[in-house]
Amino acid sequence: MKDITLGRYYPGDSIVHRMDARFKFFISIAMMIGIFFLTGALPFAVYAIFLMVLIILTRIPLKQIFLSLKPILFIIVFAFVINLFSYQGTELWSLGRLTITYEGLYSGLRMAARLSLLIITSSVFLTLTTTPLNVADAMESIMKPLQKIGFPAHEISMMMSIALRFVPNLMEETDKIMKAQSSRGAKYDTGGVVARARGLVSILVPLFVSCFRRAEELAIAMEARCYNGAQGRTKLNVMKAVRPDYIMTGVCLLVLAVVLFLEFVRF
Amino acid sequence: MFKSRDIAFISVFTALLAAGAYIRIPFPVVPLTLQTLFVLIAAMFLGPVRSAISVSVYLLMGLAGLPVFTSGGGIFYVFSPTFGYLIGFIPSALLMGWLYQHIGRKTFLSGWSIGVAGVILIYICGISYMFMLAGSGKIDVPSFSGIFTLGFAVTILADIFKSAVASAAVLKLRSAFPKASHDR
Repeated sequence: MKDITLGRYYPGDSIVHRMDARFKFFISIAMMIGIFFLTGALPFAVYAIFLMVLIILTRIPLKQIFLSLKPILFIIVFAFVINLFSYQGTELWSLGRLTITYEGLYSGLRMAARLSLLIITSSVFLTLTTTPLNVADAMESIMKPLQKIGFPAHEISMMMSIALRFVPNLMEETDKIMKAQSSRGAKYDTGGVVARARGLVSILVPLFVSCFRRAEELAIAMEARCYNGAQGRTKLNVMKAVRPDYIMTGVCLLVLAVVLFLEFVRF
Repeated sequence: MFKSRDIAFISVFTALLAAGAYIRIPFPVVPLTLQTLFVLIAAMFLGPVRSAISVSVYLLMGLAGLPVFTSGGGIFYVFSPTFGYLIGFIPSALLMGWLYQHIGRKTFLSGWSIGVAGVILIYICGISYMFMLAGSGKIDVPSFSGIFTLGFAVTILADIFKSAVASAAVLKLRSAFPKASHDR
């Protein structure tokens, strides 16, 4: 996971990639709220087709999409299985005390579809098509209105960007310290409880010391460059919404409206 | 509101938390992640405010879709049954930091008990979050309580072990940095 600064970002130059990250953020949240209302097969299908079109547009290989489903796959399967058995109704198949009903199957499938679509939506709009730094920038500008009531939007986004930049270093550092200490005889993966605890302490102490050093150096570097918060700070890449952003947002919201219409107005 | 020193410290520890989600140490039955350990140490060593902000920034990063959680990140993580444990880090950091600042003599045992208190708070948040999700019908918590009790027993033992490690590490760190620990 050395490439954490890039995350799962899949480089490309599609219309979704080029969109303003703030718009993508809003769209994906609107979409996700919308998905929660869906129950019928038709709205689900329409929405899934829409997502397929987007995936084709972004040229993201399907493998990447499946990879993004992986963390929550267990829950999807779990929700499906639990729903399968926990409904009463028309019996489909039964084994001893476990009975699969038609209603259970339907609600299990619905739950699985809902969760998968949620994740694919957020992957297509955010994780796979937006660089993490862009996400942090977007967060700052979304939280900006909160600055009026004293919420430190700029500082939070600054911390996010700095933290993101340091994650690979700290992972490497931890790895190095672990190897160095075990070459000196520290045991943290074998032996009794006390020996393991000692071994862990011998890793943690130098790790925190080195973090302190890093933070101290960073603070000095920031002060030397006269960093003083958001006041008068300018950006190299200013986020600016252009016409395709609005058009894309319009199209997405239209699709959402159609899907919700199909859901609530049954023919 | 924040000095650049605060920003630097909070960011570095946020990064450490994110790194901790990926580092696993082999341990009987369940592998240990270093993340809880980092939270425990940060809370006792950095104080309640800075450690709680570190954890909050970490959670915000993950929810915004930055890949800092154990398996990526994204807003949908709120439906993960284990998300409550992550939320629990915030009150737990506040509690442990505050307690550690307000105890008189900082011994191994007092640090350990504060760590255990923090761990218990994390579990309270984690378990009630699970039940909340189950109650709202979005995710089902299994009724196979046997498996779950076993899971809890093992992880709680591991976390009590971690509290001891954290307490020992904090004592060593305090003697290495007599000043840094009570900045705030």
